[in-house]
Amino acid sequence: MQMPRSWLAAMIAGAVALCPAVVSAQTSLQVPLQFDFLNPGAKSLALGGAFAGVADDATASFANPAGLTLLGTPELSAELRSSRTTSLFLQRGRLSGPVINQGTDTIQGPVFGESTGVHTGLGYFSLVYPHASHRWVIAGYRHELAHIDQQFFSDGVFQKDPTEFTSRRDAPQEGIRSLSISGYGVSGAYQVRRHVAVGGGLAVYTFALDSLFRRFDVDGFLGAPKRDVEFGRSTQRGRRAGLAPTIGVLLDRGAARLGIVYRRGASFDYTTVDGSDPARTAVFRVPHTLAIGASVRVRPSLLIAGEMTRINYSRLVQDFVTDQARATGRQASFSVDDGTEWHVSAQYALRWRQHPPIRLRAGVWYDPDHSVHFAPAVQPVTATDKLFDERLSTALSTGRSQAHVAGGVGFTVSRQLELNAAVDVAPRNHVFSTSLIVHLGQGGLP
Amino acid sequence: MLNLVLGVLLLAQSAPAAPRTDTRTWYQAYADAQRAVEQRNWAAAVANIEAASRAGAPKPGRNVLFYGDVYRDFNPDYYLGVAYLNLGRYDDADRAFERVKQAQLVAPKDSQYAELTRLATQAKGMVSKEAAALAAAAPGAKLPDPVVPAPSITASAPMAVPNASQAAPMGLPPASAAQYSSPQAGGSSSMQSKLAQAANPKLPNRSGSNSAVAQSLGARPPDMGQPAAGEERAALIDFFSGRYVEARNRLTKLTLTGRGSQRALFYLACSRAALALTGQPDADNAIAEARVQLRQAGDLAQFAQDRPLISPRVRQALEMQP
Repeated sequence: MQMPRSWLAAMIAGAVALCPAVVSAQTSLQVPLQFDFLNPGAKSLALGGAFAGVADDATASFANPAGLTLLGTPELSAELRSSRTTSLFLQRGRLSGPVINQGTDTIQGPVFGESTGVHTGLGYFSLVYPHASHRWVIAGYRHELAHIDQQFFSDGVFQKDPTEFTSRRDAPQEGIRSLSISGYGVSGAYQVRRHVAVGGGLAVYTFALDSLFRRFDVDGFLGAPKRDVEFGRSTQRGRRAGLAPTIGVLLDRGAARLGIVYRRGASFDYTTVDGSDPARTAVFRVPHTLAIGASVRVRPSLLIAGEMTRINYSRLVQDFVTDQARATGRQASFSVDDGTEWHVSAQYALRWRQHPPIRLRAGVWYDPDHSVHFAPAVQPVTATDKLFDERLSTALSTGRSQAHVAGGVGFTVSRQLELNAAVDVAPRNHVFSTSLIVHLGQGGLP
Repeated sequence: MLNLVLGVLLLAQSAPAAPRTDTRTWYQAYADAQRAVEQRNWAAAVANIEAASRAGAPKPGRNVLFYGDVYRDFNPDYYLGVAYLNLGRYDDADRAFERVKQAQLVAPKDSQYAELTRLATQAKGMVSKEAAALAAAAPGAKLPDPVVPAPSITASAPMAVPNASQAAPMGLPPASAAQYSSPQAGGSSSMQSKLAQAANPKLPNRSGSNSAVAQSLGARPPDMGQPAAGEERAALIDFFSGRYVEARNRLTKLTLTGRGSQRALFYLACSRAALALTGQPDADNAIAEARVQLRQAGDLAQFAQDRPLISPRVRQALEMQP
């Protein structure tokens, strides 16, 4: 049987493309690592995250420590949070050149798969103790800052440079990534003046990163991936702890409140092993956050809150992104934009007979695109460079800004116990949260 | 980013200092008031309720928003009433309890209701006694016999009140009438209101019946000279007006000069105990000294008509048997 010429040429070119050199490093970049910094607690979630200017429960120990001075009794707070996050990755298809319509090369254009991570766990726990003088408050907390589980498998896309006679195929690849960052912190707040409180905290963040990226052989140039024949692999692993401070201020005029919080991101070392290259250490830098929020109690039953949150996601580029792109020599082409989130929300206290009112909450917030982007920093010269640029530009083109819609409800179960529930929905993220607040002791309250 | 936050912090620090150093919110001051009541620190309770009011406390009510999502019944008048009652400010206590009742903040099904009823009744009774005492103490009024109980004056019966010129010798400034409207003007508004009435019969009479206090104020030892008797009566008025310092000073002077009666010693002991209990300055061992003075006053049976008028707290501090 005579093999078509195009097939033969494709196989020759494909053999070059499947060479494992530098491919492992690129793989990890093809699934954007994207996470949000949501304030803890179901109340905060239901308010669309607009909490820096509210900060009136135990979750303030993380969200805005200065707000702790508002508390009248010792409080215990715990939150169970469940999240579902979807990431898109370049799964198959042909990015350039004509489809051969044989084997796996049957689709013109890129096909993106979805990597969905689901996680449920204790999102937050805190204990707040206001001093009898009401001037200072201390708190301890545990907060899960980020938890990401991703897994994907790509068949390898087909490409063809106009200057070449044959197509190329990216090697099939698999990625499994788990990232967890949790903070164990102590916060304190001091009432400087009647309307001014300052707060601060120091948290020890634990960092756990486990990533495995593998490339596989194929059954013929156009055939299915052979997952039993590994081409190459790279790993990223880190188990570290890092310190990071938070400072906040709250100006409280009774009906109106303004809160400002600055939270530094911790940094953690991790180790990358790429094929047979020597292991190297890089740094994962959690973005810094600045939030400015305000709330106004328009009526005793109606609270309006807003917040602007600036997050310098670009801190992720240095090392974490550039290290993965190191083998390509194209580090300058990768970027992550800093982002500004906008949060708006309202809470209405619905009176119900003689009981404490039920709190109905709703919020929306704008979540800017903070995925990794690729834009060629230099003009590609070789066909390999051109196809690399094409592939990465496509793979990292799915980042989008999102609008989140949130809502929730809060109940007073007893004088000591409050329950809150909330949901936050966006095209690629769903978060559900329930939290309870326990008022410990009377603390003088009737 | 950091610079912006630091700038705001510096701005907050550089703002002109407020004249008050009390940084508490209204609900924190209210919580302190309740704690003070639990600790039986009545003067502090009143001060904290007043601080809560200054800090912008809302109207009393059920399920009032304290902070965050904490809703509680806000009933400052109840605690005010309790504190006033124990401070001997019976008229203020009576009015505070009346406000609680009118606002229906304590319903019959509430656990506080029985206690409120008991305290309100107690306050009203003491107000009646005070009123009767004032009527009897006013110059020109017929003083009851120190031994024979005075006839009771019913609420419907008008009090015999002197005119303004007769009120003047009692030592209170005419301005005291203006203080009537403010239950928080000081420790003597209850008595001041009665004296204001004495000075101006057109003022509404808020008092009821009974004349036990009147008997106390009017009962003079037969062996006392007229000037000493007047001084002692003035001291007793001070005492029942909550002006314990003045009462103590007058009675100390009387006893040191040998002009004081046994009752002067009795009320001196009570004044000093009241001072100690209300946190006002006196000797460190005021209670102990007051007990000695009480023993010097002799058999307590001779003060049978006075003892019911003394605050249970004072009686307890002085270890008087009921």
